[in-house]
Amino acid sequence: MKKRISLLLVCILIMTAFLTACGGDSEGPAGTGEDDQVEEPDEKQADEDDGADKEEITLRFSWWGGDERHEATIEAIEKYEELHDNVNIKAEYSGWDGHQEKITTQLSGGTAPDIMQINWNWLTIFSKDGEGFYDLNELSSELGLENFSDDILDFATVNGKLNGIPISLTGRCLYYNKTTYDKFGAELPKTWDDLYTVAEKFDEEGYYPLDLDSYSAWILAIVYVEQQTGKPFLDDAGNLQFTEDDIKMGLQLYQDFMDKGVIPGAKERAGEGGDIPLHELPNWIEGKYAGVFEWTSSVGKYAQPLEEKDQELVLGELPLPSDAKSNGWVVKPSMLFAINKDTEYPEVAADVLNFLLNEPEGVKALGTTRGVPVSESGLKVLEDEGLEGLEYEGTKLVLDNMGLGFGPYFEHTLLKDIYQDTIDKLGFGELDVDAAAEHMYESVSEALEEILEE
Amino acid sequence: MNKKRSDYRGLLYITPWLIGFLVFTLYPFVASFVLSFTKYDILNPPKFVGLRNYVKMFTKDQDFKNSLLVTFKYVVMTVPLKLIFALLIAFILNFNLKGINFFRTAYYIPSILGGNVAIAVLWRFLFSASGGLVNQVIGLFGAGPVNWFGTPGPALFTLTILRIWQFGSAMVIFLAALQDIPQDLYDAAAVDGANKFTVFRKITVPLLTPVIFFNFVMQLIQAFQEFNAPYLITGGGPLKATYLLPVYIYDQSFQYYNMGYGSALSWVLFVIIMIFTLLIFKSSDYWVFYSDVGEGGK
Amino acid sequence: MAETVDMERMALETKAREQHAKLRRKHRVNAGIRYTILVIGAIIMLYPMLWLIGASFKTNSEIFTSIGIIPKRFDFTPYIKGWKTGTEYTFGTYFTNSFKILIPKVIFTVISCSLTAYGFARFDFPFKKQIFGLLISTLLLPQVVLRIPTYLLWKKFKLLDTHASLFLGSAFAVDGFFVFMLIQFFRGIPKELDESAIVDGCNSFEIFIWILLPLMKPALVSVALFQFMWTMNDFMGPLIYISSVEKYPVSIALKMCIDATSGTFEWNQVIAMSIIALLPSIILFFSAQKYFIEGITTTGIKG
Repeated sequence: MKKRISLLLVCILIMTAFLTACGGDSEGPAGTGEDDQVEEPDEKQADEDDGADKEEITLRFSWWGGDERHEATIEAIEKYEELHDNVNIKAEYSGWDGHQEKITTQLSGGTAPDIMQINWNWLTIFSKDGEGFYDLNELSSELGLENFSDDILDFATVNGKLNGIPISLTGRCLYYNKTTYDKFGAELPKTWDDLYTVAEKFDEEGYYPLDLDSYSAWILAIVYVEQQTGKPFLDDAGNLQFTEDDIKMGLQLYQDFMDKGVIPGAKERAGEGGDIPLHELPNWIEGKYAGVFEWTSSVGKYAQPLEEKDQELVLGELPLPSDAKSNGWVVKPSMLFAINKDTEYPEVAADVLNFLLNEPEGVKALGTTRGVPVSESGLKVLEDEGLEGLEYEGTKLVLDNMGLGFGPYFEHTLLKDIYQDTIDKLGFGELDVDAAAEHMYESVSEALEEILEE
Repeated sequence: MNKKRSDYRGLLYITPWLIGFLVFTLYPFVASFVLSFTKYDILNPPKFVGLRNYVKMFTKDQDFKNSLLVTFKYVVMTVPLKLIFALLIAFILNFNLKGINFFRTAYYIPSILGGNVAIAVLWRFLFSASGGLVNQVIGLFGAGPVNWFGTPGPALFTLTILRIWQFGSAMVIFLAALQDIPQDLYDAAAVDGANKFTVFRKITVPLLTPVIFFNFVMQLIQAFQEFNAPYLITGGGPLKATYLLPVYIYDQSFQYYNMGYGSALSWVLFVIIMIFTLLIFKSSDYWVFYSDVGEGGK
Repeated sequence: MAETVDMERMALETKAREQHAKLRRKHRVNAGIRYTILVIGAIIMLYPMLWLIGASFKTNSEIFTSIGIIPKRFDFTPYIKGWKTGTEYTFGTYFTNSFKILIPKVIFTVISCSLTAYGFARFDFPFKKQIFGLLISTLLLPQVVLRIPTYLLWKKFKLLDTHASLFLGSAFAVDGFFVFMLIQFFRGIPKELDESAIVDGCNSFEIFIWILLPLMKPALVSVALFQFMWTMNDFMGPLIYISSVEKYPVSIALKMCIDATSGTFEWNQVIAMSIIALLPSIILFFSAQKYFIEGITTTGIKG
């Protein structure tokens, strides 16, 4: 017995001894960020030695995506390198899984690439004060910023600094499985009430006019409430605008949807597939869950398996009462390009982005692999080639109806988990609407305090 | 084994590990320990906050309480079931039957599959409430369909099933140990007319105890650190019933960017596992028999 | 007198023969039962693998809706396209990379861990218990919080984006799991063996190499197998330390086309490649089985 205790004690002693020793020579992870700036040029130097006359430039460019995006981007990079033979772009790409951790680690270690494809809500993590990335306003001519409207650039502006450049916009749209709707002789819903009417027509066990996972349910609820109140859930600075009653109104909508068979109940839904996304569930593929509220940029995943089974997915209308105070559409940049604040060649990096986003050759190579471009010249190039499809239609609809905005903090993971947790508790009957509203209001307020601290 | 004189050759043999520990392992450990007393969002320098993380954890963090409880439930369910299963199968696979290599490989394949992309899809086929294979089978016995993924207890159990199905590594270790049991001991027992069960109880199990002990400790550690199963199959739901502590630690560290808090949680988990491990080590005096110290334990 | 002895012996022999026949019959019945159990078990264990193989020929919607094995059509396009990948390299490159990590890592692990385990199992040095305690404690902390500090460490060593960052630690027995495992196996071997070898004039290293390691074959093979398979499957490590696509191992390459945020992909290609990626492990495991049989005959320690 004594021996075991002494073992533990010695462990702790040795640990603390080393701890103090290590504390001396460096200040932990934070300190190491500094000496990296010394190191980075080192690597570059090695590359520069190759080029004798013209300065050889190597830029690292990272993104995540699928095969199409990889192939298109590599092609675009090759085109750029053909035109600029002193520039060598090193593509560092991967699938989505783990990419955020990789970028986080690199940013923390000061080893991040020169050009990065980032998610919009990452700005609230990586650049709370606007200092996380290069301020692109300083590169406006190289970037061809005149191709982007102020509305769009506002999305990526933090503290007056342009931290990234939106590549495309995406918005939540309702898409319906027309084949199933036809089967029941139901019209596609145009108003909120239509959804209930359709639900009655879906009289076969297991069929629902719409499916909402807990996060989508909350976004749709917000749309509904915004139309009534004219207030966004969060403002751009991350302050909660909804009152507890507003939240209650939204949660009540979800409760009504479940009660009246507009959507499958949370329990039933979970029972079907655990955490499997809807587009991989037989209930979706076989047309039983006949509607989805999704980002236009993701609709392809839902349409593809239906097509394989000869079903048709169509874009629906977002319900909008005539007396609505706001149309409530939820819009956000689907992704951004950002430039490393420590890059050695900001102008060249900007020129690469200009090529990819605005110049015909680059734009054509990329196509819509990162969504429908928001750059005016980029969009024109692709429209001339002909654009169509569910994503394009949806995005166009969204762009014509840009609502109150959505705020970069809305998608903070901590908040997302709270929405999901609350909706689940309501869906499983753990909390009633009143209690759920109280729970969400308090949890969100508390979480915001933590997120916005410092 | 009372007085033994110190033998410094031992230190020489463990030098590789000592170097590895000092060079590779120690710094990250100490860093995470230090970080557990800070607020650290990974991208900005950590700020010292004293014991705040630990106080918060034990006073007002409901998620911590919940995931701790869930983790305990998971460990209690998984570890014994997996150990018994692995030991039994190893015993069955230890005979020199024709085609045994094929069977051993077949039984190990689930473990090779690991976190294959298709596991989640397969688990849905097994456990979906409407038409899942398991519900069809229990239906044959008149049991009503269970909403596996939609009910807290059963959802956690689907993870246990996954890990029991991937019993291969523990089995291989048992199998390797079974090879080390001298055949003459079995022969002697057969001559004495001992039956199978007696042989198993009196010879096999005692000689296996060092490895049973190892598997017990390691399965316990791994179960406490289980991350992939919920990540793959349930995403922590329903109602956080499969939200194991390591998943929560991951969320705090890399999703909420509270690396300081995540580190504090990790060190609490460290202490919890440490306590259990020490208990097992302590108990080993009574039930583990090492051949290197002669008959009857240490 | 002699006759009675003979008689007794004969009686004993018949009895023994009868017992033998009984045993053999019992053995046959036992074997029958065992095979039945084995086959049923094997079906349960193998079904997912067979399903995967079937799925590599299916379309997305078929994969997600059908639990059956047989696809509607056989067409090897998923294998061909999957092998080519949507990247600048084929899976050939990624397999080569995986082996560049695997081979040194497995060899290093077996050597460094068995040496360390021998030290712990057979010698009594100062602070042994405490140091062993440290070894065990390295297993107890969740990896996720060690990620960033470890990254910074490799950066200090200027080894980021190298395969060495993924196997160098193994040269220094950083995997406490294997050390602990081998200690347990060493301790299962009676010390009399060492002692008789000392009498024969062996030094401690010779005992290690010539006496103990051969007895440890099944355990050492298990260590090598585990390290091989776990490294083959390791995703997060390489993803964080390796940034150049041309250095990616198979585990990352498998997920290169999966973009959960948008975009569709053909599951059958991913599954096809994941089957190819499983093959080395399966073949290795199958062929390593002979070391598990051999054990029975060679490790019998006489009296």
